[in-house]
Amino acid sequence: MLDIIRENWVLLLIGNYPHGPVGGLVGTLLLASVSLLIALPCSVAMAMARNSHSRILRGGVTSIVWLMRGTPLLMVVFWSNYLVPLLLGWPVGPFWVMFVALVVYESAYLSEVVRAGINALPRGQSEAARALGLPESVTMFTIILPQALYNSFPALLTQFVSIIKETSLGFVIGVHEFTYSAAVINANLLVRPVEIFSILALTYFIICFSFASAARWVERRIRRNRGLSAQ
Amino acid sequence: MRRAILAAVAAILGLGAAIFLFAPEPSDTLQQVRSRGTLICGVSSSIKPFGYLDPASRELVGYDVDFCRAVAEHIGVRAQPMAVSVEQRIPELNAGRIDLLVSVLGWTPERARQIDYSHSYFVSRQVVIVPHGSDIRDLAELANRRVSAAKGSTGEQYLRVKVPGAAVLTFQDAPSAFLAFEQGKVDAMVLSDLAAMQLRQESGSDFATIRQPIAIETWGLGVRKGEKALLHQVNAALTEMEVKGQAEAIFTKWFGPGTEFAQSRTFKVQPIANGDQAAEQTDGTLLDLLKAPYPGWLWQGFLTTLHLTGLSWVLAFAIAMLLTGLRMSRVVPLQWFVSTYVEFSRNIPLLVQVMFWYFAMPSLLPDGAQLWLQNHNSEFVLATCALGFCLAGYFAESIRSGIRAIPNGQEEAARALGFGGVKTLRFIIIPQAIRLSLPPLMNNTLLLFQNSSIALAIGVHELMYQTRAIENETYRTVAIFALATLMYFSVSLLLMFQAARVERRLAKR
Amino acid sequence: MITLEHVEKHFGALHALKDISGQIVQGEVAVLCGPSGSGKSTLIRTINRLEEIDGGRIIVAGQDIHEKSLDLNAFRERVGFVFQQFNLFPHLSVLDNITLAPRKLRKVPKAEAEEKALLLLDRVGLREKASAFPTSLSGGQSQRVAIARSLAMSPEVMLFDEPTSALDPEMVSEVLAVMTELAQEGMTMVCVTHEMGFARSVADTVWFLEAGRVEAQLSSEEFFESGNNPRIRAFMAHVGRSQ
Ligand SMILES: Nc1ncnc2c1ncn2[C@@H]1O[C@H](COP(=O)(O)OP(=O)(O)O)[C@@H](O)[C@H]1O
Ligand SMILES: [Mg+2]
Repeated sequence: MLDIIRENWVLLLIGNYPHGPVGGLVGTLLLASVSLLIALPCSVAMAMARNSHSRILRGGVTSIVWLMRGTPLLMVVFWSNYLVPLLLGWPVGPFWVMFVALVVYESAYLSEVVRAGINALPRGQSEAARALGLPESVTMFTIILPQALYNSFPALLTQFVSIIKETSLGFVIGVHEFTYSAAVINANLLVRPVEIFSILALTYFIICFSFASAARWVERRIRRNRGLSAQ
Repeated sequence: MRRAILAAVAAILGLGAAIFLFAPEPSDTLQQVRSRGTLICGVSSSIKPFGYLDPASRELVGYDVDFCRAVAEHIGVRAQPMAVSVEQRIPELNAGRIDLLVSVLGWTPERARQIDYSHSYFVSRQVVIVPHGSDIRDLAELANRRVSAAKGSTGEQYLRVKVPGAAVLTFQDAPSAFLAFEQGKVDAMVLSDLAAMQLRQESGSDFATIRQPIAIETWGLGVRKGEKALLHQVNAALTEMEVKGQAEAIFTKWFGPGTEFAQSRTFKVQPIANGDQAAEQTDGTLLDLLKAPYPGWLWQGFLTTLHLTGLSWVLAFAIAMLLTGLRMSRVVPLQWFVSTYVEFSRNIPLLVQVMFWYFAMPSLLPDGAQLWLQNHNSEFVLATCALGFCLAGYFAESIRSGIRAIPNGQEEAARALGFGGVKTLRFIIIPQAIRLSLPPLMNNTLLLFQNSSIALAIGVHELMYQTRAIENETYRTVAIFALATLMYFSVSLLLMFQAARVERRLAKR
Repeated sequence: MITLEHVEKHFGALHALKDISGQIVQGEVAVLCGPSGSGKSTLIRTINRLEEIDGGRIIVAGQDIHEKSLDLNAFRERVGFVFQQFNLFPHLSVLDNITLAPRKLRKVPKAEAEEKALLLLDRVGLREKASAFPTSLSGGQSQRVAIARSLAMSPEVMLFDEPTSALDPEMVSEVLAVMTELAQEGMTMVCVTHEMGFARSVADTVWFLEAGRVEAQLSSEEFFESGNNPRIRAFMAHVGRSQ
């Protein structure tokens, strides 16, 4: 097992960069981070749209969320693989295809997280803001969202773990990420799948478990802070 | 809510309709290549010695890569080899992500309808390999046997035509297909003679080759349909390479006397003989999807998905019950075991767990179990195990949260009434826990149903796999994807409604 | 200052406010009391339109507050509201809680807003808590900050909905002291409260509500001397016992 790591650690870490796109573990983390970074503002917008007064906006966003919740991610990936280059009119690499799929899919899920955070705030918060005469937008951006996002930070971290795991599906459309690196090594060595897939699984585990533990720790802290409050 | 669902269904169908109106615009690739200064070749990354990743330099190298470089040089631009999978290579070419396919691409009439071929640059024999001592001695005896092949490879296609009775199992790439062959999950494998030769050396294992080749195929470079200028340049380059001996030199470098193959060249660059037969692709209609095998494939995939979900659900629930019992046992090591189990199942991508079960787990099993697997649709069984063992962790966690939500007073009250430890569990705690954890359990079930699609990676013929198979044959991507999405969506919706109902009923109490 | 004319309010089948009329003049302190569920909160919340009404009219400072042309937020700036549950913003410091509205709505420069906020904190006796966060305050301190937050917009009317009901008994007096001082300065105030001592010493008028109806609208002296209304007597006896 150690000899596999020794001989292939660069490939596992960064794929065949600089002779190809950044891949391996770095590719996985890059893909997950960029996706989260873009999906988060989208999800906030979607959560706000679902609380908005416009019926069309509300209905439209609600159906996107339902659609995503009712469809396997893999299906979204294949759609994206077909549609993104077609709609843009220029070729798009698998990394960005996967990025689009993840952003669309995760925005829907994250918007549920954000919405739950908004709805969990005591009603008194928005009432107090209204009683002060703060307009809705100010109430949203200075009172509601900061608290809702802070409170749902652990849930967002947990969702990041999901995204990391989901990047592995990129393998199916040829994204150079961590699973792909392992598959390439497996193809080179042929007869040592137990060791290679153990390395793969353990590495994912260490990363995801660390983030999941961090999420739990943060959640305890937040709950403790909130527990002190009389509200 | 009902309106939202209607809108969602309309969105699926509408999207489908809208996409028909779009089509990639034709463009002059040669001009683009010149102005860009690079020629992007799609090459394999796992097929030695044609295109593979050199572990030391992590660069793509091989016979195909050398041809790519030579053609690029002839055009006067830099070569940029890009890895493509066997299955994705033609879609990638047609999507415009690459300019030229140099990717172990044999000529077939089906493919020639989708892309244009250059002159031939390699000739290969497709053969069938079997384990030593196998009772299969010629192609006809492959009927009703399980044969592995790389997904989308020529071997797969010839096999389906020449031995219609054979059960073909396709894999992501040739090494995966070979691994299945080596682990005895299939009775035979179809591949090129060179690959067979090379696999024999690399793996150190031995096998027999059926004498009669399944096909002799001529390989060419592929360009998008209608790219006359580029095709002309490529052919000119190949011809010049033949005349100057460069083509011969590349062959000798990879297959000549100094190599493990020790072959001599028996072919020359020349127009592919039956190349002209390739008819223009006639645009099929949507009705193609209703033609003979496809509705059956789709339905069978749907049933397999339901089976897979149902069986792995039962497995997961049983394991979860066991885990919950262990967790309540108050024996610290057992509790640790359960926590570790749960963390592992939740923090490793399901795809990786599925691959681990498929490629790694069987070799850890005793021989008897391995044998049983080989004879019982191993990919389905192993996918069921992977899904079941993974979801068990999620189930156990949901049940635990249910138990936690039970007020402390309940156990005290039961104790005060004189219930013992086990009886308290059985009559007071578990019934309440199940009720309280029903909503998250329903959610986990939804997750399980949708994630069963990941089993396509190991060749289970479930709904997603069949969808892709039909897409590969009919090219009615939008229609077939919309159909599959609708199927997944309907079942998911049923589950989501059920979950909402349960939650409402619980809230009332 | 505040005029109610035939105000009606339903929650579905529940008739929460029934034909309520009355007037509160500039500088008056009115106390609303009555049994739980009688509609006190609903009534006081209609005065700055935290609840919409189904019928009647409400006029505040000469302005019909249901007129289409009304700028609701600008109107609310002129009416302070103090909640039973304080509703401080937990993610903002005490100082930021108080300066938020002046800075966002009146575009008051930060330094100026903070100067005024500190003066207000002086008035409620909490200057040293300026940089603290709400979670670290006691109930009484939170409520005083909430009052200061409302005062920061220099409202013409202050509405209090049971400001002391969520407090431990020893903290009630500190909040009442602030309110009493405010009344003495001539602020127009409407208070829902069960603090009869406060009502007796500070209020000008007392409204007694029962089942969504104003049963009595008396001057404070009349109210406390009125032995003749059996329902008021029952209510007083009940409140007296619970105190
Ligand atoms: N948002 C609401 N929806 C339905 N009913 C309400 C709502 N708010 C108050 N009520 C009902 O209106 C009645 C009066 O309530 P409230 O004004 O809060 O009483 P008080 O403050 O006098 O205790 C009560 O019966 C209460 O249940
Ligand atoms: Mg009340």
